[in-house]
Amino acid sequence: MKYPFRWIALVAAAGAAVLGVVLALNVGSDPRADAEVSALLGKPAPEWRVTLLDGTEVSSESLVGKTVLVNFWNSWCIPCREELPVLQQWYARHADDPDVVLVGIPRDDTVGAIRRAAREDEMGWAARQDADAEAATLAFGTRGQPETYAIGPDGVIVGSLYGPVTMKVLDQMVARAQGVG
Amino acid sequence: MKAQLGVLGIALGIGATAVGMWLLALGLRRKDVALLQSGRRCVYLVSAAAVVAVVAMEWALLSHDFTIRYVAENNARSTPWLFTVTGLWAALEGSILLWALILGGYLAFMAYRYRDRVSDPMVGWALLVALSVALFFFCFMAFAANPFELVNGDTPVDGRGPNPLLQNHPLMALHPPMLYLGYVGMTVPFSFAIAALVTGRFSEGWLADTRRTTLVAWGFLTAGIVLGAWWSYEVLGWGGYWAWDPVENASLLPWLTATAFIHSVMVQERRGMLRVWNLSLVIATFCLTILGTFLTRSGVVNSVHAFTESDIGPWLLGYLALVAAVGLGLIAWRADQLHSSGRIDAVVSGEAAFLANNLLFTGLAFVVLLGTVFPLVAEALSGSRLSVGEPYFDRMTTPLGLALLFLMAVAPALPWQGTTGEVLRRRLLVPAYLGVFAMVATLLLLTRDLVTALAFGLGAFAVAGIVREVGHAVATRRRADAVGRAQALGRTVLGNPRRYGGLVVHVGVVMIALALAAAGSFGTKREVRLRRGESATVGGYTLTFTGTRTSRSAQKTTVAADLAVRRGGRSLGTYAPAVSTFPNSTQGIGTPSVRTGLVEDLYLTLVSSPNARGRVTVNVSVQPMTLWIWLGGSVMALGTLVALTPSVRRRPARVEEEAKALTVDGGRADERRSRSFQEEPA
Amino acid sequence: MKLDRRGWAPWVLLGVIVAGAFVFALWPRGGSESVKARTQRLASELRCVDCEGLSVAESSTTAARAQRRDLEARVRDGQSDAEIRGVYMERYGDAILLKPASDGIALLVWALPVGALVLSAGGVGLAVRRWRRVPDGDGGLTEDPATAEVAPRRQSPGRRVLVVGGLVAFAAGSAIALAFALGARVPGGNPTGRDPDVAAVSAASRERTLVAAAEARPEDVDAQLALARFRLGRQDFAGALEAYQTAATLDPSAPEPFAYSGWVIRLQGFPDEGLLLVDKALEVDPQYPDARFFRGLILLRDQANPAAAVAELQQYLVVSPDGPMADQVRNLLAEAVSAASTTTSTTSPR
Repeated sequence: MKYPFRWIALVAAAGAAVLGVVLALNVGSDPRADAEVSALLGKPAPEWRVTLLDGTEVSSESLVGKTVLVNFWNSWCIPCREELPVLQQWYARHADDPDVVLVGIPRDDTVGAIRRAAREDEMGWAARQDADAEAATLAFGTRGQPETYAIGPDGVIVGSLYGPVTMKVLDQMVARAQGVG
Repeated sequence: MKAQLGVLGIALGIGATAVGMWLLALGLRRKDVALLQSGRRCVYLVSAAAVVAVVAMEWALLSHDFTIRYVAENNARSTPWLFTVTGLWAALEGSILLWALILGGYLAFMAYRYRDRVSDPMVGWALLVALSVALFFFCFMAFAANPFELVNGDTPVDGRGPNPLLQNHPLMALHPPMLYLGYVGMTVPFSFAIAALVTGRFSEGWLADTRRTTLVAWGFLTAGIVLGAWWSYEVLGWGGYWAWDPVENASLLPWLTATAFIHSVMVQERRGMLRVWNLSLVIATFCLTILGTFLTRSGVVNSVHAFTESDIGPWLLGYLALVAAVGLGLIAWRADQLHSSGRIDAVVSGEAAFLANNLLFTGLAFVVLLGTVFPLVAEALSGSRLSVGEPYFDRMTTPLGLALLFLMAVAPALPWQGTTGEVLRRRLLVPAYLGVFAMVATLLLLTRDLVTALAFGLGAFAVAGIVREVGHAVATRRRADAVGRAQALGRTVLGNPRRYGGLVVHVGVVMIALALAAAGSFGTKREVRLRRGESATVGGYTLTFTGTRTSRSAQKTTVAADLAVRRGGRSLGTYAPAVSTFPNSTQGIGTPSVRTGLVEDLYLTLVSSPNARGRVTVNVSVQPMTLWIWLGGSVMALGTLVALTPSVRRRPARVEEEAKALTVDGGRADERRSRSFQEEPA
Repeated sequence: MKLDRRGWAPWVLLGVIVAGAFVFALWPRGGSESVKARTQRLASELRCVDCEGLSVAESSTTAARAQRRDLEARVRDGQSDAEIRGVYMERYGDAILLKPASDGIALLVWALPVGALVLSAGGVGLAVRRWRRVPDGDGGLTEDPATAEVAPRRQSPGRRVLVVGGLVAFAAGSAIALAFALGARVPGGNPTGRDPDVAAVSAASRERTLVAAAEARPEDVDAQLALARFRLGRQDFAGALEAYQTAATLDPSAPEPFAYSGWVIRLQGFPDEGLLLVDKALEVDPQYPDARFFRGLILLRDQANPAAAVAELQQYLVVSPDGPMADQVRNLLAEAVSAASTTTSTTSPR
C-alpha cells in the first residue's frame, strides 16, 4: 500500500464522523426523560394487590372490567405533595362512579408516615405500606415517585406518567382507557 | 459592577486572542520578528483577561451578589467560605471560566519560555494554535454560556446554594482544578504537534520542547482522577471508587492516550520512529479532552456528574469536529513525509515493546469509548435502548490491563534494537520466577481466581524487575564512584531522573493494580439491623450500636449512628456513619464512616435512621487493600516529581542537536559513562 | 535472538509452571453456585433505577434492597437466569441490564473490540513484514556500537519463528483462559457472612411464595396442589387439608385432592371419614393408584380387614408396579397376606 497512513486516517475520519453524527442527533434529547417512559405501556398490567387504609383489599383481579388509575406516591417527595390537590379533586369528582377507581400505592416510605399523611390529607384512595405495596412497586417497574399508570378495563396499561399529574393528564388517561374498553 | 467587570474580561480575552492571532499570522507570513514578538506579548494580555474575569466572579461569589444568575444558583448566604470559593467551578459556566484561567496560565508560560525563539516558525505556529483554542473558549463564554448573565426580574433574597453533594467535603477544592490542570495542559503539546505538521518539521525538537509540560499535565490528570476516586469512596458512600460512569470514562480517555504518548516519545527521541503514532496520540488526547467536556456538559449521557445544558452541546460538538478534521487532515496530508528513519529490528526489543504499549493503550481507550457512547449509537441505529455498565467494562479492560502489567514488567529490561537471550536471562529470569512464585502462592493460599492471581504474579514480577535494576545500577555506581549506598542511589536517580522517576511511577501502578484485583475477589458485605445495644459480626469485626446523635447547623441537619467497633477482642474505637439533609433540598446525603487499615478498610454507611422501634440499618462492608490505591496514587505523583527533576546528564545526542538552545543545564556528566549505566554489560 | 539449548530450559520450566497454574485455577470445581452468590451475580448485572449507573448489588436505596429480596425469592423458587432477566427487562425495558445482551445490536459492542484487535494484529504483522523487506536506512545516528549491545542482524529464522510462535500461542491461550475466568467472576466482591437460620428461612419463604402463587391464580388447581403437598411434607395437616379441599372444589374431576384429603383426615385420626373420601377418589378415577394404597392401608391397619387390604394393594401393583409407593405397598402386602392367613373376612374388594 502506497500511502497507508492516508487510509488509516480515512478510516479514523469515517469513524469519527459516525460518532459525530450520533452525538449531534442526541444533543437535543434528555436521556432522563427518555428513561422515564414506562416499558409496560401497551402491555397487560402486572398482577398486584394492596390493602387500603380502611382495611378494604383491592387487587388487579377485583378491578377487572374497570378503569383503574394507579398512583405511586409517598409522604416525603415534593412533587407528590404538588399533585395532591389534583388527586383530591379527581377523587371527589369520581367518588360515585363505579367504573373508575383511583388507588394510591406508597413507595419507599414508613407505615406510620403513610398513615399519618393519608389521614391528614383525607386520601381515601391510599393503601397501606406493606409487603404487597412493595411487590406492586416492583411489578410495575417504577423508577421513582410520583408515577401514575392508567389501566383499561381489559387490563392493558394505556398511559403512564413519571412526575406530578395534572387534571388534564388524568382526564386524558381515563378517556383513552375507556375508549379501548 | 462585578458583572460588567467580568464581561469586560471576557471581551478583552476575545480581543487579545484575535489580535494576537492576527499578528502572529502576519508575522509568520512576512517572517517579521517584530510582529511575532507583538503577537507573543498579546498572550500575556489574554492571561490577564482570564484573571480579571475570574477575580470578578470570585468577588461576586464572596460578596453573595445575587444579581448574577450564576451566583444565585450556586451560592447561598449560608454557604461556608470554602464552598463559596469553590463555587467558581460548581456548575457549567463557572467551570469554563476556570478552564480559561488555567489555559491563560499555560499560555503565559509558553510565551515566557519561548520568548527568545519567536523567530522559529514552530514556536510561532504553536502560539497561534494555542491562541485559537483560547479564542474558542472565550467566545463560548461570551455567546453560549455567559457566567455573568444577570438574573431576570427581581434579585432573589437568598441564593439556591450549591448542590449538597458539592459542599460535603473540602476535596471539592482540589479535584476539579487538578483535573483541569491536566486537561488544559494537553493544549501545549497539541499546539506544538499541529505546528510541527504545518511547518513540516518532523524532527524531535518539539518533543523536547514540550516534554516537561506534558509530564506535568499528565501528573495533574493522574492526581485528579485518583482524587476523584477517593472522593467517590470517602464522601459519596456507595462503597466504591469507580463506577464506569460516562463522565469518569471521559476523564480516563485522555489519560490513556496521554500515557501512551509519554512512553512512545522515548522511541521517537531515541530512534526517530513512531512519529505518526506520537502526533496522532497527542492530537487524540486533545480531541478526547474536548469530547469529555462535551459529554459532561451537553446532557447527552446520564451521569451523576453531568451538568445539564443543551444549548451548548452544538458549540462543543462543532469545535470537536473542527479539531478532529484539522488534525486528521494534517496527518493525512503529511503522512508520506512522516516516513520514519528507522525500523524495528527485532520482535523482542525496546521499540517493539513500546509499539505494543501504544497498541494496548489505544485498545483500552477504544473499548472505554465504545462502551460509553454505544447506548447512543445503538439508539441511533436501531432505536433500542440499552445500557453498558460495569460488567462490560470489567470484562473488556481486565485482559488489556493484565497485558499492560506484563509489558511493564518486561519492557524496561529490553534494550533498543534487539537483545540476546543472555541479556534477557540476566535481567528477567529471577524476577519472572518471583512473579510465578507469587502467582502460585496466591492460587494456593488466597483465592482460586485466575485474574487476581495473575495480577499479583505480574505485579510481583514488575516490582522484582525494578528492584533488580535499581539495585544493580546503585551497586555499579558505588563501585565506580566509591561512595556510600545512599549517595550512590541519589547519583543514580539524578543521573537519569526520567527513567527512575518512571520506575517509581510503575511501582505506584502496581500497587493500584493489586488493590483493584483484590477488591474483585475478597471482601465481605452485609446489611445489619441493630437496636440500641445490639451487636453484629461481619468479617471479623464486631459492631455494637450505642446510639444516635442529631446535630443541626444553618447549613444542614445530620443524624449520626454511633457504632463501637471491636476486632479480636480489641476495641478499635467508635465510628459514626451519618445522613445529612439540607434546607433547600429534600435529598438526604449519606456520609460514610471508614476505618482505614493497611490490609483492609471497614466501610460503614447508615442506610436508614432509627425507625419507630429504634432500629437502624447499617451497611457494613470490609474492603481489602483500598488504602493501596491512594498510596499508589501518591507514589505515582512522587515518581512524576522525580521524573521532572532536571537531569545531570545529557540527553541522546540526536535530540540534543535539535533542541540546542533549550536545555538550561548544558550537561556535565560524561556521556559514555552515563550511557553505560543504561545498558550494563556486567 | 541467539540462545543455546541450555538457555531455553529455565524459560520452558517457567512456562510449564504457569500453564499448570492456569489449569489449576480454571479446573471446574464441583458444587453449584450458592443462592447468595447467584443473587449477587444477578443483582450486579441489573441497574438500580433510583441511582445513576450503580448496580442493584451496590446500591443501598430502598428500591434496590426490595429488588434484591425479589431476586433472592426468584432464585430460591428455581427460576433460571434468563427467566429472571426476562421479567426485569419486561418491566423496565432493555436498559435495565448493565451487561449488554449478546444478541441483536448489542452484539456489536462485544464484537467491535475483538475486530479491532484482529485488525491491529494484522496491521502490525504487515508492518513487520514491510520492515523485513526494506533494507535498513538508518545512518547509525543512535547508539555507539562499541558500548551498546546490539544483536547481530542475521538471526536464525527457524528459531525466531519458534520464539514468536510460542509467545503468540501463550498470549492467545492466556487471553482465552482469562475470558473464561472473567465469565465466572462476580463483580463487586463475594458476599459472605453466615446467614443464621437458612433452612427455616427458606421453608417459610417457600411457603409464602406458594401461597402467593395460589392466591394470585385462584383458578389454578396445580397451585393449590403444590401448596397442599408442601404443607403435607411439613406435617401441617390442617393447612394441607384446606388446600386439598380448595383444589377439590376447583376440579371435582381430579382424584388426587379427594384421595389425599381422605389420607390427611385419616392421619388426623378419623380413618372412617378418610375412607369415604378415598372412595370418592376411586369413584372419579378407578385407576388412581394412590387411592388404592390409602384404601389398603386403612383397611389393614384401621379396620382390621387384611383380606380386603390385600386386594387393594394388589390393585396398586397392577396399575403402578414401579410407582413411588411400590416398595411400601409390597411390604404392606406381605403383612396383609400373613395377617389374612390367620383371620377370615367377608368384605369383598371393590
